Amino acid sequence: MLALIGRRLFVAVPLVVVASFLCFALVASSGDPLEALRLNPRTPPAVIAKRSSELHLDQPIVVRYSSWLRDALHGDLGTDNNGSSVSAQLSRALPVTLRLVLVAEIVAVLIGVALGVVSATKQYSWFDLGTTAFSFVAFALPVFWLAAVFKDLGIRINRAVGHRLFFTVQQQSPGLQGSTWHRFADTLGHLVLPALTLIVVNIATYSRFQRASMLDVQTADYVRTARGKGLSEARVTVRHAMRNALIPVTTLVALDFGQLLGGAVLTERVFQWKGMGTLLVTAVTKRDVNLMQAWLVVIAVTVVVFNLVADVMYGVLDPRTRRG
Amino acid sequence: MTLLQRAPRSTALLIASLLTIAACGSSAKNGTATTAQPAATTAAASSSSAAGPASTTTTASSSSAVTTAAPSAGNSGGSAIFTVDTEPTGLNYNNADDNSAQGSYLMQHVWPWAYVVDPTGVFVLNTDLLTKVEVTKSDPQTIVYTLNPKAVWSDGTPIGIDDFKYSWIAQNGAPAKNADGTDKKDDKGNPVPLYNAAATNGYEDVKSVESTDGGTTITVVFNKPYADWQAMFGPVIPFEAFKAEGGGDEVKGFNEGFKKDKINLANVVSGAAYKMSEYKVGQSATLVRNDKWWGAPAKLEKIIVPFIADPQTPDALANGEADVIYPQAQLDLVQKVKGESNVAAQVGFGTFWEHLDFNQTNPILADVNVRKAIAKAIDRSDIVTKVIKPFDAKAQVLDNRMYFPGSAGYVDNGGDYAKADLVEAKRLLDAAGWKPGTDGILAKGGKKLSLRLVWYKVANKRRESTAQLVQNQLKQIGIDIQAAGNDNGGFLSAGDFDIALFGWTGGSVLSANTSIFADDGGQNYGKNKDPKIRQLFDQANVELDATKRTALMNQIDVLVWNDMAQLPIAQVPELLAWNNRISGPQYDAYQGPTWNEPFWTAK
Repeated sequence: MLALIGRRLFVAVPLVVVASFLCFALVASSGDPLEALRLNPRTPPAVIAKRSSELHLDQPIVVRYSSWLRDALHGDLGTDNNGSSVSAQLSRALPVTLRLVLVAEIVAVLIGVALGVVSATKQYSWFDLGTTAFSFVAFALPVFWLAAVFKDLGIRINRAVGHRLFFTVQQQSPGLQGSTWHRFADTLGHLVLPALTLIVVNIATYSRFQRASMLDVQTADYVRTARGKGLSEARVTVRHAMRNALIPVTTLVALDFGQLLGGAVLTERVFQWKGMGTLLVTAVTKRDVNLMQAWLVVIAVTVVVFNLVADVMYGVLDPRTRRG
Repeated sequence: MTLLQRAPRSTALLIASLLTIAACGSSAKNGTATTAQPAATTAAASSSSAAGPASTTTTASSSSAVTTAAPSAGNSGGSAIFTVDTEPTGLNYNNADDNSAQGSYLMQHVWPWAYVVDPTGVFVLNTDLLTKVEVTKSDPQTIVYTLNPKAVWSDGTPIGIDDFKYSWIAQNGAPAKNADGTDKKDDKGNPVPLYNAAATNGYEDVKSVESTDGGTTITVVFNKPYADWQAMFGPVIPFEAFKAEGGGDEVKGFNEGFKKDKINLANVVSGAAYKMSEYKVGQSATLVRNDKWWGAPAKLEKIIVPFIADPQTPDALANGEADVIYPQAQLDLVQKVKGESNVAAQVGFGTFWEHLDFNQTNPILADVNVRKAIAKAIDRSDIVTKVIKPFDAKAQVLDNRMYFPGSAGYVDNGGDYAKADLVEAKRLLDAAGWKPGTDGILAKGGKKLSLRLVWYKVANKRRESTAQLVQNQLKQIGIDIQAAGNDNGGFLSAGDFDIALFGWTGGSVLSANTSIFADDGGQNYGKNKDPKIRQLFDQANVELDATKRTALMNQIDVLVWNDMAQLPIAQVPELLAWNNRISGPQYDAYQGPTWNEPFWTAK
C-alpha cells in the first residue's frame, strides 16, 4: 500500500507543478486584472501604476510564478487582486461545495447503484426500460436547464402550498434567526433543489455503469457456482455479483467526487452557492492568478487523493488486486 | 440477518448522516428572515425615464434635504431584502481596489453624503448633515459648510473637521514621502500616491480644509476653482474609525481596511439612518436603524442585502427571497419580472450610455469625411427601436455626450445626424475618393473600405445586436464591417479596433469627461486631436456659474460632433423591481436604487 501511494505521489507532484504553471501562465496572459480601473476615467493614473507594481504585473510570468510557488510552499496563498486573503476565501468556499457534493453523491450512488442492480437482474423488463429511458433523458439535459426547471417547479410548489418549502438562491436565508430546528429546516430547504440537480445527472451515470457491470458479472462462473450451490438469488446478487460489479462504479464515483469538488460550476451559479465553482468563475473573470492557483491546488490535491482512494477501494473490493 | 432486515437500520443511519451533512454550515444568526409570501395581486408596472445630470448651482443653500423625500404608504417597521449582484470587495468604496456601485448602495445610508442627486438630476443638500452650504468667494473658490450640531457618528463621536479633512487628504492624490521628505517614486519614476483613492477629482484642487466659527463650520479653500464641488464629500468618512481600522494608522485604514473578509463592525460607524449590524462574508450584509440617528427615523427596521447575481434575482423576487432587485436590464429578465403578478417595476434610462468610437490612427478613419459618412449612414433610430425600445417605449436616441434628455443642460446637438442619410453618406465617401468595387465594397488606391467593429464583452447581447445592425447599415453604402466581441477591455487602450462599441458612465461629475474627450485624455481611445476641446474643458471645469458652464459643455459637445470622434447611440436601460409588500423604491439614475431607502416601507 505504501509503495502504491509512493508511486502515485511520485507522478502526481510534478504533474501538479506543471499544471499550476500552465494555469498561471494562461490566466496571467488572458487579460489585464486592472482593466476596470483603467476603464474608469476618474481613476488616477498614479493609483493604477501603484496597483500594477503591487501586483507585479510588470514582471515576467516565470518570475511571478516563482514568487507564488515559493510563498505557496510556505503555506501563503497570498491575496487576490483586491487585497483579500485567498486562504480565507478558499476556506469559506470549500465547505460549501463539500456539503452540496457529499449529499448529492451519496444519494446518487445509493439510488444509482440500486437502479443499476435491479435493471440488470430484470433486464428488458419495464423497470429496466424505464430506467434506461430516464438515464438517456438525464444525460441529454443540460445541467443549467435542469437547475432552472427545478427552480421554477420549486416556486410553483411553494405557491401551491402557501409556504416556502424550497429556496432558489444561496445556501441559507440571509439574516436568519430562530430555533435550531428552524435554521436546520432552512438549510435543508436551500439544499434540496441544487442537490437534486446533481443527483439526477449522476444517477443516470451510475445506474448505467452499474447495470453494465452487473450484466457482465452475472454470466461469470463464480456466480453460476453460487446459484448452483443453492444460495438465494438475493444473496447471489448482493454478496457475490454486486460486490464485484461495484468496482468500476467505485472508480467512477471517486473520480467524479474529485471533479465535482472543483465546483459544480453551473449548479452553483444558478443557485448562487458561493462554493468552489463560484470561486473559479470569479478567478477567471477577474483574471486573478492567486485565486486561480489556490483553486487549482485544492482540486489537484483532491483529484490525486481520490484517485488514491479509488485504488485503495479496489483492493478492498477485490482481494486479487492487493497482490499487485 | 438478511439485507432486508438490515435495510431499515442502514437506511435510518444513512438518512441521519445526510441530514447531519446538510445541517453543517448553518449557524445562529441575528436578524429576522423575511418569510412573507408575495400576495397574489395584479401587477402594477410603471416606467419612468431618468433625467439628465444636474445643472450645478452657485449657491448651495437649500432647505430641501435628502431625507425629506415624500414618505411612502405603509407602516413603520419590518424589513426588506434588497439584492446586489456582486459582493463588494470592501466597504470603503473610495478605495480604488474596492470602488464599486454595490459598495455605494450598501453604505449610502451609513456614511453620510454632503449632497445627494435626486431622480431629476438635481443636487440636494443633506440638511441632516449640513444645515447650510455657501460659496462665499469665487476667487479663490471658498465654500463654507455649516455642520448640523446634532450630527454624530454611531459611536458618539461628533461628525466634524477631522472627518472632512480626512476625506480630503485621503482623496487628494498627494504622493507618499520618503524619510527625507522627498516624494516617493516607483521604478519608473512615477510618484507613488499615499492613499489608494478611486478618484481625486476636486480634492486635488483643494488648498485647505479648516474648522471655522468655533467649530460650527468647515471652510474649504481651493487652489483653483472646481465646478463639480457639490459632488465632493460624498461620502464623508469617519476619521477615528478609519484610524482604528488601521490599528492607529489612518493611511493603512483607508488602503487596507474594511475588506470583505475582515469586517470589524465596531469600526463601521454610521452617520446616517442605518448602521451595519451584521456582515456575513460571501452571503449578505444587514443594516438596522441607527439608534444614534438624529434625523427622521428610517421606516424599515432592517434592510438585508444578500449578494445574488443578476440573472437569479427574478426567481428570488418571485419566491419571496428578495423584495427589491436592481439587475442589469436584459430583455428576457425584464420580461420575466414584468410577467410576475405581484411585482412593480420601473425601467429607467440611466447615466450609462452606449457609443461608437472611431480610431483615428487608422488612415481610413483619419479622414473626417469618412467618419461623417459612417455617422450619416448609421440609422440610430432603427437601432434604438430594435434594441432599446423593447425594454421601454420611452427609449430615444442620445444626441448629447455631456447631458441626458430631460436635464436642464441637455441640448440636441445631433443636428445633421438626427436621421440617417445614405445619399449624403455616399456623396461624402465619393468626394473622399472611395469608389465602389466589383463586389460593391468601396475601394481607394487598391485598398478596400473594410473596418473592424469591436464591442466590449462578447456576451453582451445588446451590443451584439447593435453591431449587427451597424454592419448591415454600412453595407448599404459599400463599407465592409467585420464585427466581433472582445472580453478583454485592454483592446481599447491598445487601440486594437477601428470602431469600438462600448459605454461610458456619465453623471454629476462633468469634469470627468475631460479624460475622454481632451486630446491628452487617458480615455481618448480614438485619439481625436482637437486642442480647442482641451481649452474649453479648462474653462468649463473652473466655471462656477451653472449657465455659463452648461454653454461651455455644449460647445465641447458640438466640437466632438464636428470632429465626429464618437457617435452616441442611446442610454442603457436599467430595471428596478420590487414586490408589492414593499412601497417606496424609486429609480434614480445618479444615486442608485437605495437613494431613498430610509423611506421604504413594508406592508
